[in-house]
Amino acid sequence: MSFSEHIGIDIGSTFTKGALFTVHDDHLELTERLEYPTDRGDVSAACVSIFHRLSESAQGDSPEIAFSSSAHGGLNMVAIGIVPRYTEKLAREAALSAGAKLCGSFGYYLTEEDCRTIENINPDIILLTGGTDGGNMEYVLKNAHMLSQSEISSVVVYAGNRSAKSEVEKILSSSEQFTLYMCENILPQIDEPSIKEVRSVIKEVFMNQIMKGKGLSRARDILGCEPIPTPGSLFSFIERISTFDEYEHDWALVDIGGATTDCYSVVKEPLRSLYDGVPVFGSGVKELQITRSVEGDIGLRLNSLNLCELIDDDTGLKDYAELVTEHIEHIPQNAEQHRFENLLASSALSLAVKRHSGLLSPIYSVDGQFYRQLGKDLSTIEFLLVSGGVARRAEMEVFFDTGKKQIRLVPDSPVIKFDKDYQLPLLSVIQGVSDKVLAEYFWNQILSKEKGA
Amino acid sequence: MDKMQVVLGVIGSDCHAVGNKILDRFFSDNGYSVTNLGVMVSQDEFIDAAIETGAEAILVSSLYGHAEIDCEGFRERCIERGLDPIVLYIGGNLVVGKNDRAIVEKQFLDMGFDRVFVPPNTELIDQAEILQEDILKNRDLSTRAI
Ligand code: B12
Repeated sequence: MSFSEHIGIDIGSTFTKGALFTVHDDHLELTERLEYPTDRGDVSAACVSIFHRLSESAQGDSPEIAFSSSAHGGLNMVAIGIVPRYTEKLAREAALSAGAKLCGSFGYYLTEEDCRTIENINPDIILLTGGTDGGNMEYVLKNAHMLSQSEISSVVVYAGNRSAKSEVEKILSSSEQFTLYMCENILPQIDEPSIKEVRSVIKEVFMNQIMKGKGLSRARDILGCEPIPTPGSLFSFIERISTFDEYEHDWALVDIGGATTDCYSVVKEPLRSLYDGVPVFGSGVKELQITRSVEGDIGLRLNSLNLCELIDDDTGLKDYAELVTEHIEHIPQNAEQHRFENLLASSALSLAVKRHSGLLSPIYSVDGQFYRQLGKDLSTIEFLLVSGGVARRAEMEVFFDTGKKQIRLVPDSPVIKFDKDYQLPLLSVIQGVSDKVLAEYFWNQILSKEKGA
Repeated sequence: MDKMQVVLGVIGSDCHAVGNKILDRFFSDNGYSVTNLGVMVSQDEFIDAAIETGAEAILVSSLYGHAEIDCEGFRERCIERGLDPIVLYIGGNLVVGKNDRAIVEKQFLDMGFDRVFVPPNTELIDQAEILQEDILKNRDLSTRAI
């Protein structure tokens, strides 16, 4: 008979949430869930209170404890590569999958103006990449040099051409402004992206260095563990539960927030082979099976007016959007407001998924018509799991206009599911449960197969 | 010495895949690091891959007779995007019908290709050595330029 307890806490910018999970004989369940508003002056406060409450609820006296945070802007990153559809794109993917907020990305040679832009962004981490192993060295060397000549001061993670590694290290360590981490190349060969190591290094950097400035030290001291960035923890969770043959589904998670919306997708075959019987060809770097995108202009509070523009409505939706933009803590009060909230949430969901999906454009040849695919094919997606505060109260549907000339590869007939207890970020952060137990709980409890469950 | 990097592919909407596999094998076996983009490759894809891999030569195939349109402005595009110098080869059935070999060759040399391989000149014998010489010549040029 095995028994273990796990406390997972997530510090968000408006609410801090926590849960106590219990595992009996490889069977996981949610025992208690709590949430308090986050105090912007002291982001650790709510986390510490939740920790004490849940520790009292725990039966044993040594539950596993873990926490994540997206407060104070999370982890700000800049990505640098060479060719936009190769290393620049991969550097962006790597940063996003590690849970960063991508504040800029640059290709080819950095200019002085680019450096000033980066200075103003003042990122926590710069990810410097470029060149396959044994490939191009000029760009990374020149870019390293440009960084070293600038006023930028930041952590730099190098994950470019192996052959340029020691030279880049020399250039960047010649001044004190950078803390350097050297990684394996994210693109060792042109058709072999490899972002795993970079991701774990970025997370490690976040834990060791970045969080110091984010007001989390007190939470760390009391809880006795290091925080991870919330999206990074969600990404790893998705990876952990997607490695089992018995749960082979393509699916996506859409985390709808007040200001931004994140979309994560899991697709076994991101490149389509045929569309309407016509061959499809890819282009650029191989699409990854699991990816994350962030929409900075889609949100149900601060960005709700953007969503209104997509909806044909003359019943007062816009007034409602103005109201919630002004009062971000507002919760729908009556049937009409619920209807508005559902409309906004549906369009946030649809738009985020649409932007996450790839595009087919026709190519005309002597041999008839073909398609070229850019981005990921999401048509095979079976479930869209909606998370975020809104998942608890709104009802949603998806509507895509997929375009005529170019075809959007949006999910064909997705079933929408809800993270009703808003427990995903809390489940994601706990580490001491085996992948198998976690996967079973996720697929059978949170995402059970019945429609609308 | 590191292997020389080359990019290989069949240009345009041409899907003749067999020769491409043979070329990949031939150049890989003869000491090159080959990035093979396969069939239906656009000019920019060749150039993107060459920049990223630091390739010193691009080997273009065209079998279906539309090379002239597909390769239009290729050299200029390379220069514009910073691939200069770069060895450019082309081979295959470049034009439709039975044209005089010399005329076809000249046409593609004028377009900026360094060497042109049209039948019966497509048999792979000493192309590996010729390519090495051409790449070394370019290296020599660039060091002199500095
Ligand atoms: C098989 C074949 C097909 C198959 C291809 C299957 C596939 N996915 O590979 C299919 C049926 C799909 C096909 C379709 C077409 N085909 Co076809 N096809 C052939 C065929 C019979 C053999 C090609 C082949 O594999 N050869 C064997 C390989 C090893 O040789 P290779 O390709 O020439 O490559 C070698 C050399 O050329 C050289 N080389 C090539 N590139 C380079 C580059 C460098 C740098 C160097 C050094 C050397 C080099 O080295 C290679 C290796 O040894 C040829 C005729 C022939 N006998 O060549 C016609 C042929 C190429 N096809 C032709 C045509 C017209 C077409 C179509 C347009 C027909 C149509 N109207 O639908 C379509 C085009 C489709 C498309 N979008 O590309 C014509 C081209 C005419 C021209 N250029 O003047 C040919 C010559 C037939 C003919 N005599 O009319 N085809």
